[in-house]
Amino acid sequence: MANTPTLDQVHAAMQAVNEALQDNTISDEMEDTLNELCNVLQGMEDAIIQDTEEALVNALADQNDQLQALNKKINDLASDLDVASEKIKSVSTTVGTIVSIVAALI
Amino acid sequence: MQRYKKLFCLAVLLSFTGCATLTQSQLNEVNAFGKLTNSFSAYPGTIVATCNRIHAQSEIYGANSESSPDLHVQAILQIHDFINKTNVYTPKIDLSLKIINQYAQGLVLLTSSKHNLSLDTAATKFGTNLDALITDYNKVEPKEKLPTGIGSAVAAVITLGGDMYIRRKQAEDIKQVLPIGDQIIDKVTANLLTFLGPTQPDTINTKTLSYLIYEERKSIIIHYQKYLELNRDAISLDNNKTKMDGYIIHRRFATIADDRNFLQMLQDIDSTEVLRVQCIQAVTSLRQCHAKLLKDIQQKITLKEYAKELQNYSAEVKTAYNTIKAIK
Repeated sequence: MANTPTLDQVHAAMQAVNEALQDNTISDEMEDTLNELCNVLQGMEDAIIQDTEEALVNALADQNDQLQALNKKINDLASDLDVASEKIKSVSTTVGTIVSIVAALI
Repeated sequence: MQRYKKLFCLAVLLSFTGCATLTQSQLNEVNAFGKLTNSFSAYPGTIVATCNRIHAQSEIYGANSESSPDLHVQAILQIHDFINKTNVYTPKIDLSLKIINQYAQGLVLLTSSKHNLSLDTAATKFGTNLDALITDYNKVEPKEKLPTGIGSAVAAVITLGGDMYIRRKQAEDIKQVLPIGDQIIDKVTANLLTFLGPTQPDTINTKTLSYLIYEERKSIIIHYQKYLELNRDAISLDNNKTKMDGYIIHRRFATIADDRNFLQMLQDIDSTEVLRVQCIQAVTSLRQCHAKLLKDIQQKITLKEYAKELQNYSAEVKTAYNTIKAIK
């Protein structure tokens, strides 16, 4: 891993190849070789970006499981509230019926 | 009759005294936190998605300048591979904030007034029905009229009792959930801040998002330069026995559309860095906002207005939203 180049180094190499390609007197063979080198450098650049992003993303997921478990608990509590609300509504109806009967009897 | 009504009201009220409920403004604060977090959940992922999109776009310019068809195709295949491999990162980045968002929406659900409103509806219906019944009774027995309005009074008591029960339950649930949530949010936001990196651009530490953005800016220029260097065509003149090989050099090669694309890529990568800094501020505000929320709920105070932390969080999220809109 110690020999893995940095993006900065890869870009410096790409810049040097670009400068070499600017020379209009180079042969077609040399141009092909330089372009081939460009592709190799592009592959290295992509791989470094992927590795860096992957490491950053993996470090992010650390606490997600714990928060997911808490979310489930919250949803359960919210369901309990719904149940309580429904029960009170049913009590309201029962009391209503009783009061209706009592009111009618007065 | 009046005396019974008063006694009934008093009994119900007494049964609920001493309940630890949250003030309406505290419930509103929890609610506002949840709604704000909902709009923020996709922003950090946009940074990486935009960076990778620009990278692929700039590499197309590099690929287009390859000298042979084989190398040209090979370069395009590499871009395709890069897109496929990095596409998986954005949903993973967004997952952390989506989970925080789920948590925030859970808080909204817990503090929702829908439970109280449904009680209101039931009690109002009951009150109206009872009063209508008494009115009918009075028509049948006009000599012994019953007092109308008792239905509304009983309905009010039931609503009050039910409402207080629900609010006490909401307070219990919120007080149970918020401290645990706060510990987790502390860790998740810390991870997000590590992911986003320092506020100042980091051109030294090669493992940071800031460094990637900084180097991507260089990459755009390098690939476009390479494209501009595709300014010569080989030529061979054959006149009888004399053969001359040479090149035609194009002085004006790139189109205005190419230059506009190049400019747009530079502007987008600059906006990505701006968005990164704004996300740091928004995540920091999210952390402070939740800590303040917990403190407010625990202290049982009546909030005159939303906490400053909530307003800051709101402002940071809005600023980041404007930057995202500016990225093409």
